Amino acid sequence: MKTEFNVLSKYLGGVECSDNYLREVYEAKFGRCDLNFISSIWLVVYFKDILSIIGFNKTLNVKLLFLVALLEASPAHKNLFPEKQSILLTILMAPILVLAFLVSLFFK
Amino acid sequence: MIKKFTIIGSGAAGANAALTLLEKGHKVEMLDYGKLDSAPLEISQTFKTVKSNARLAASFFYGNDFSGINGPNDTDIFKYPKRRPSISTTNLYDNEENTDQFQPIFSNCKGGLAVAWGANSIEFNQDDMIGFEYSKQDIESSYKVAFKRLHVSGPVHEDDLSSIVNASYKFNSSHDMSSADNNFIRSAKLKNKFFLKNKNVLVGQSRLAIDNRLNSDNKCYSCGLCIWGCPSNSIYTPLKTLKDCKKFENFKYINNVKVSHFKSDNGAIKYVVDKSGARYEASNVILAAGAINSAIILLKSFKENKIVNNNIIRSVGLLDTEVIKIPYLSLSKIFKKFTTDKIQFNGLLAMVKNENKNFPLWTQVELLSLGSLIYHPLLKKIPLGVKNSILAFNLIKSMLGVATIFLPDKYSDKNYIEMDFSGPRDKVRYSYSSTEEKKALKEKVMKKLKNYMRSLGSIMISSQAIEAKNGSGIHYAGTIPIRASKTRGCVNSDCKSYDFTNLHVVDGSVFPSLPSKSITLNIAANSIRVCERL
Repeated sequence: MKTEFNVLSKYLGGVECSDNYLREVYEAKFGRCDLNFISSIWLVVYFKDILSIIGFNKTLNVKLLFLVALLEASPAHKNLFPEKQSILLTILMAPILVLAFLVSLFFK
Repeated sequence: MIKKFTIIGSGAAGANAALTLLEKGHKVEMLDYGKLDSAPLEISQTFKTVKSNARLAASFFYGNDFSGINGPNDTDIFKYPKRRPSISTTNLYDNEENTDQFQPIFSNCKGGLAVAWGANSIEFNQDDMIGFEYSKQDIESSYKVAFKRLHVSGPVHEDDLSSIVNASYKFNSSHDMSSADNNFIRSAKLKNKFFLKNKNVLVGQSRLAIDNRLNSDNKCYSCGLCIWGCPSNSIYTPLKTLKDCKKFENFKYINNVKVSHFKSDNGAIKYVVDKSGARYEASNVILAAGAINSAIILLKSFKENKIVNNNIIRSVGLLDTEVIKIPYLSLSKIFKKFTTDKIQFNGLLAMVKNENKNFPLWTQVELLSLGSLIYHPLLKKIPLGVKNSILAFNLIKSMLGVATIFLPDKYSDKNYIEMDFSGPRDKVRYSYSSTEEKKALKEKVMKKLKNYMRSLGSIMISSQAIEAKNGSGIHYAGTIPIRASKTRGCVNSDCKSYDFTNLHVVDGSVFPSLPSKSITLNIAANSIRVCERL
């Protein structure tokens, strides 16, 4: 059994957040919740997160956004938003952005 | 001849009026209801060091109750946490109705709303001053005093904006610019060099009321904590001017006074009356309680002195800058290193020329390169789920910026503050709506800006524009405007009331139209202009 805070912080940043203060704040707002093995699998959380696009799991969405805000204002922000750009992703993204720019030239 | 003045309010208008009058040898009594804002962090802390301590960061950025975290329906990118009482949606008069149409932000702090302002300091040009009934030339000398008091700093080099700022005001040396902002300015210069210079859009480094004097104890050390309260006291607030006022023996500051109305005799104010009924004898009154509260005090005074006998009394007008935030992507920054150590605050400024001559000429746009601690509200706007949104964000973050457009405003008879005296308790209502003319102006400004940004390799994502609610522009004005001929609820070009012979109004209330440029410097300059003549 893992706590929801541990599972979600790992899901967002890749590593579990070990800061007790942030855990206390999170649990003061949403309550302490232990997740079973299935619910703590990364893919399951990801699936639930994706489903929030079509209106499911709104609570999870609210929890994740609150956690992003908390982690962003802490040393853990570098896990969420690393300073180093991924070269591979940048190379993949560059043509799309250039294309978007060219397309935008034809719109008012 | 030494006169005695009673000043209501300690904001940019009140504090600068007081200092000007004291310097002329007059006696000044200031009535204020200001509390002190929360103390900022001690010097040496920076955005980076605060974030290295989770406990400190969470309470500092979001407040102990975490009210600074944006909720799902918030329309702003930044949210001031409750730790800063300088910004509040509750007025000290706490009897408002219909606030869904217009939701003003108040300051119940010493120093007024300017305690939490953005420090942008560009003076109004003649073409901005529609209906002012005095010329730019009439206020030049007051701007010089205001620039000195506010310690305005700006670039020593020439940029596009140099054509609309008066170099004789003597700027202090400029603040640091981020590499992203430097790149942007470089692109604009290259474009100007090789292509026809665009005179409809000007871009340059912000002129800010930040103390950057080399030998100053309050010199800015670029900590990046501006919007949460400047630790080094570098950003100008009226508290600095208030401190200078307190050096004069002729100055008396009375706190915890909620002014309600004036009591007059034969058209002259005899007493200033507070909410508890206490009276303060007055021979000359300077009203500087902020555009909204000044109007409320004046309307209540009309009722109390039977100048108007109706139960419902309206102010002449109500103006505010409409705010629109539009994200943009700068292709030139695609491979640039990105740092989360700093949040870039008011680095760049653009001015877009309006074609509609009924409005003030320039529309101010703040160009903000995103740093950190503002991701989460934007993530909500990417419809991919939180994890995927973070991944997408990491791809574009070094290129991402936000353009904040402040639209100018002009008089409309549909916009006003209304007081209802029919019930046991006085009520305040706001009426405010955007006109078709203003909507057309907005479209044109956005189009011009979009084209200009595109010419510098930046794509503005208009579909993601965030329009702030009416009233959140914070630049309130026009409630007791200047009029050339005698009109109830108005003032003449010297800001002298047409209703009370010994009353001058010096805050934003008197602006008959509202230029888009930040208002604090211009309010201070006008207040100095008025008081220099008294």
